[in-house]
Amino acid sequence: MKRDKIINIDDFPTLPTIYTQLMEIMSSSRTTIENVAEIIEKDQASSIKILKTVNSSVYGINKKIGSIKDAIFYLGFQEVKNLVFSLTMINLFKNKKKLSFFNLVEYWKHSIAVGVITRLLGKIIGEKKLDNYFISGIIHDIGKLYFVYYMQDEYSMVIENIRNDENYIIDTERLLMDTDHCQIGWEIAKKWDLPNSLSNSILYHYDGSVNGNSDTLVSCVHLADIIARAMDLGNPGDIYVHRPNPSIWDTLNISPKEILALEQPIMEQYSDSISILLVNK
Amino acid sequence: MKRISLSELKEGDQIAEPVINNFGQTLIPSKTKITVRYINLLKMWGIENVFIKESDNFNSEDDMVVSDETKQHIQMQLSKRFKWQPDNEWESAIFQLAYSKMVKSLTGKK
Repeated sequence: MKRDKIINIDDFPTLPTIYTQLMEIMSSSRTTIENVAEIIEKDQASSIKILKTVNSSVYGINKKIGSIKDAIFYLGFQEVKNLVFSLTMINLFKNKKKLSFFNLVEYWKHSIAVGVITRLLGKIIGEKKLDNYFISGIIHDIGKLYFVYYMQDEYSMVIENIRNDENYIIDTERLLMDTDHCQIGWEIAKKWDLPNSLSNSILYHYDGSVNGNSDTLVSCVHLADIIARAMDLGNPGDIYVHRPNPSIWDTLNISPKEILALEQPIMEQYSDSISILLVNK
Repeated sequence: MKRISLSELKEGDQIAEPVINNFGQTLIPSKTKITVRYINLLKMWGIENVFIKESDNFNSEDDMVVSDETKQHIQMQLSKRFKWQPDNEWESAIFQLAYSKMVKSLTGKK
């Protein structure tokens, strides 16, 4: 199967208006909290979910956050923008037709788990700028959505092949489609003009390093993906847990005990996030 | 070892670091098993957090409630998802998270 014949990234949806408006307004140095809050508050459903997420165990803020302005004050422009992005991404695909070969709810559950774990790992290793951690997990497998919706025949064969041959999904994608979800995800990230840190975590999350060079965020997403799979949180299309890239232990400087201690916060934050981001309330 | 608040401390927990009051006196030495008397002592001194020992072996608690048959079932299920064996402590920790989650799913524990 030739890639140029089957891949057309232009088919993939463009970024939702609310997100592009936020990107635009945040690029101005004159932007105020009020300007940003005004755009977000236009979408009432998103505003409510953002407030629920900000008040959940994921952020662990000791004070009740009652407005989008307060949310921006506590989390910053970037993290609130990322939350809007996560929500709009999930909504963009939530109402699409159900597919027999791929469970989208389980896919999002896995992605949310990876988001939660990536952020927890960032916290443990003392990363001060956690802005892109949650979102990196949420979108790390975005390339699969292209396959699922725009190459259904080919991808249903991939999924069936995995069930029969018990291969890792990425190997089967490469074998049957001559590309993989990391590569396609990276092309979507380029189309959306996402920052390098996010496009790298999409392209390299399976490998765990950027062409052999250490990258903290990429390593966190790599490990988070493995932990989410190990703990069976959602289903990204296959059930197999790949071996971590050994170089990440030096990059992250995390102890085995710290990994073990993650179990309870993962379960708490995962359950909170699922109920906010995936349930229509 | 983990740090917990006094409200989380319960009978049977084992102190990992000596608890010292403002005058430098040891209120509770390490390795002490907590009883109600100790909890009251800590309240009296206004101690808010203590370090307690965590189980060294993650399986120990789960092993007590899981039958051999269930353990075997879990091992079998895990071997379907993991195509590799742990080579270091970090990889073992990942296995342990998987095992523990499965025990909790099967036993209904949270």
